[in-house]
Amino acid sequence: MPRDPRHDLLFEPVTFGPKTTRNRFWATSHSSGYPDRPGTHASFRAMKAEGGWGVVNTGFCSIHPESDEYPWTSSRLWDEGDVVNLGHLTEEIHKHGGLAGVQLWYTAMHSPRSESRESARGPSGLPSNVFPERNVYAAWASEDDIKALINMYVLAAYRAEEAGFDLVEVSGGDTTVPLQFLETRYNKRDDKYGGSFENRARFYVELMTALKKAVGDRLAVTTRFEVDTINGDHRIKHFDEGLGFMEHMNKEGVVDLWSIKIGDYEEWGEDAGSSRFRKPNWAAPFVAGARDLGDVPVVSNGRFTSPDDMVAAIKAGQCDLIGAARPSIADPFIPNKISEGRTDEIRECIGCNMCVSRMQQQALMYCTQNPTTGEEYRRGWHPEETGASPSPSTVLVVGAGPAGMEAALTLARRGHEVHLRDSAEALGGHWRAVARYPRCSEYGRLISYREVMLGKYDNVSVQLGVPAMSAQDVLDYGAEKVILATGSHWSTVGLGPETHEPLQDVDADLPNVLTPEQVSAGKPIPEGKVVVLDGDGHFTGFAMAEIAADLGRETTIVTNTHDVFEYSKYTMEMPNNKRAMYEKGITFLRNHWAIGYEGNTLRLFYLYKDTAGLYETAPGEWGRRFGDEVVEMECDALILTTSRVPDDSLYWELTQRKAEWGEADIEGVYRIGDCVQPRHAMDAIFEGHRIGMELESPDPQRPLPFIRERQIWGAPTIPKLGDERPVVEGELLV
Amino acid sequence: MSESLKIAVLVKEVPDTYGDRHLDLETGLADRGASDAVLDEIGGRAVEVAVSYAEANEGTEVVAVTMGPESATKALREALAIGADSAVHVSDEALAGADLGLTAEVLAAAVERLDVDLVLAGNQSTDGLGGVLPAMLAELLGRPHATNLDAIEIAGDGITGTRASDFGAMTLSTPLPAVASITDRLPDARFPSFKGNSAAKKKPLETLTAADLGVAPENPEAPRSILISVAARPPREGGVKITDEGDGGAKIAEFLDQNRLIGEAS
Repeated sequence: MPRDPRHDLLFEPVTFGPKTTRNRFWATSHSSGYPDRPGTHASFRAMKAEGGWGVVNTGFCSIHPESDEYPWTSSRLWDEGDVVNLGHLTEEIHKHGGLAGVQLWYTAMHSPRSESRESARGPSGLPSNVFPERNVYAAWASEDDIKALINMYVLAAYRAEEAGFDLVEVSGGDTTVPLQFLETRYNKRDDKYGGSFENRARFYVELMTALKKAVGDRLAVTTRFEVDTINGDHRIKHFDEGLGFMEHMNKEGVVDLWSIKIGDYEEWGEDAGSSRFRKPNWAAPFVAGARDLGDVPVVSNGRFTSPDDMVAAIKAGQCDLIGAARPSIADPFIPNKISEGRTDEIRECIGCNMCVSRMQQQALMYCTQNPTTGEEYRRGWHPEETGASPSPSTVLVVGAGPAGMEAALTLARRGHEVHLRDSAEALGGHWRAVARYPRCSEYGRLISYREVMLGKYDNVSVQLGVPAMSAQDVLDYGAEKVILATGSHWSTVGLGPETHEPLQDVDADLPNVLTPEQVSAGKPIPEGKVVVLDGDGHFTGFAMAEIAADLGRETTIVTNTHDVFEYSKYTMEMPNNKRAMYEKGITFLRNHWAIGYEGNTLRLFYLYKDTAGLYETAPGEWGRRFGDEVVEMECDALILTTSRVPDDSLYWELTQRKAEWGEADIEGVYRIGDCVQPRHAMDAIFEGHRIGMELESPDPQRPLPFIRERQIWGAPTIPKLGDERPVVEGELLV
Repeated sequence: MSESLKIAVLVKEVPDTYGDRHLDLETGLADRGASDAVLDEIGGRAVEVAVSYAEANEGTEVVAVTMGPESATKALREALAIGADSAVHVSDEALAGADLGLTAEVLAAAVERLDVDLVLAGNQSTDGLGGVLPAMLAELLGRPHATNLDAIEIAGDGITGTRASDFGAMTLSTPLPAVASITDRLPDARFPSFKGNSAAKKKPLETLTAADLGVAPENPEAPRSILISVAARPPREGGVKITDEGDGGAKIAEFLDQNRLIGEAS
């Protein structure tokens, strides 16, 4: 289909500094966990260029060992070794016609420096509020130190140029050092870099001026600026110093482009707003007015996945370019799909922040919607091209949840003859109920994308509302290969991660004991005091508590963990989870677990009721002194989000009848997703995709090896021991 | 009483209702190139009724019968994949555009040859919507008919069923041999399994012409309906657009009320 003319606007070139981008799609800088794996990193970023993004940025890039983010993995421009690795990355981006950008990053007081062990310099010698538990501070910078800081940026910009980057973007967001100078909460100086607004702005202005001088005639010099930290007084507010600073900087003419964000480093979940709390383009009111301050192009983000929303933002004067981090991960091909009139094929970001959560676990980044994220190099996967199977077969997929849908789709794209069957009347498995939880409606995109794509292939038959299949039905079906994706269910007896035992007198057959499936199906939640017993730590327990609270129930969450819904620490939703609970009067009790529930009394125990010390409890017998205190809690209804149990009976029945497979012409029976082990939908979809890609392998149940990237012993290192570091001290280099 | 029977099921290839459907304005016939041709869903349901009976009553034989162009073989193969044992395809260019009378004559001749206990059909096809063919067939065959059944029970010597009417549900029964038609209140046909699909390729499928059946399509003595003219559906007129200015709900309610789509309960 041709492109909708209403979207032509998105494909106009934009010039900033010495560079012109082919369209208005800006793949915003975001971390990935990949930079230590140069192949993985380059192929991941280059996929966005191949998918049509005009500008492709890397993640945050440390300019000097003083700002060492380890154990988080950032890019680095410390030495020639980094130039080699990032040189490969820019080459891959350029192959597909994109401009390559790198974000220059120095966090001073917020840098954990767990690898380099150096001291960082900042405007003031304060402890970090981002890592209060890590004991990190910055050293008060002298005026000479400030010159050294600027020189570090200049040397990094030279290396960026050497690596082939088209633009350097100074991070003035995520509370990096330019912001620490600007914000009164961090800047306690009384010299020319502190006090008045002009003084606090001085460092940022001098920095941009130096970079413009150093590389500005060849590279675009841009910045990502935190226009509003949305944290109240003593912080940046867009209507005050936020826009005021942009105006001030524009007068100097040293910024070629503004990429604007909101939220600070402590709560960067406000920049990466999850769909549970922020609707697309939630930053619009904070960005308003930025575009009117001058002729400098503005990039604005907002989890944009709809071309209509993008066009509306540009037409409204909000921005010149559409920035996207998460949508460009979920679908690197958004620009090309819009350009080719294939908007129905856009794999829309669901805003679940699993990508964010991976970063916060200091792990490799993956995506719920796009199982090929991070696998481009190491497994050779491509989000749009699966290749054809060398030996197509007939495949029966039982279960149309996340794993089953993705397996069926991948197999269909590769030319297999697929039957996807489910006893439910619609696609999605348990995820259909999830998408109806409060706040979770965007999660439904996981299903709708696959529903649309499954409809495009004649070689997949989607068979819904069919009778549940028995082992005999599978044996009689005539499929060469069988994939079971039968899912899991929430434990009906309170089996959980603390005791791994059912709770006493607890059974979801009782009217006052409920599972999420029952709540979704309309089982009434009895009036009075409701307890959600949560051993899951993610969003389901929260949803149950909110449903109960919205019905007027006095709701308490009891969890064994140190904090409530601990996974939300990783998705950066913890603070807003707590705000929402506070607003709705939902209380919580941590480090407790249940023993049993009878009448309207829930019996709990405190996890640490036993002694810290070890004693000789009887002659020759050593151990703790165990406490037996029971905490009783009034409870009229108990909702169990304790753990999930695989629905694997069909798999075990079929394995017991393995001798009959040959007779039935079945080559293999495999299982994927929650029926193997309960997991995040992200991992279930990955497994569905993987088996779809590897069905021809000798044992499709087990993954093929992937390329590992690490230093192989014996290769020369950069730097070598004894090498000298470039000097940053002294006068400004430019 | 249950026992083995021979059942003929009438099926039809129709344009997919999920796609675009067009009439050829020259001939007045469905433009078969405009959309996918599929097994009519109602015929699929009839096959399901017959196959379910056959599964419970060993020795029962189910024959799918169609009259239609060469491509209709695909619909028959689908009926075979669902579980019919064999198929008969009457295909003859002289039958293109046949009216209900000629169609009934051809199908009666085809069924007569099979010597079946029961002829089962959908109550009406999705494309033609005639709804009288099963009764015409019964007339030609000289057999009793029980049509438009919402529920059907087949026994060895007769069938019983329920038909909805304006005055309530009526129960019908008739001895075999007979003709019956069912409504879409009966379950969807099952999805063919891989085994069903591959078995369907090997099951017998007989192709016949009008001459094979001794039917003369051009018989000037026979009463035939003649197509006089055909016209395209007039283009749809623009609808009413309601702009929400804070009172969208009230405006929609007003619109629905004006069009008598809602009102106070009487």
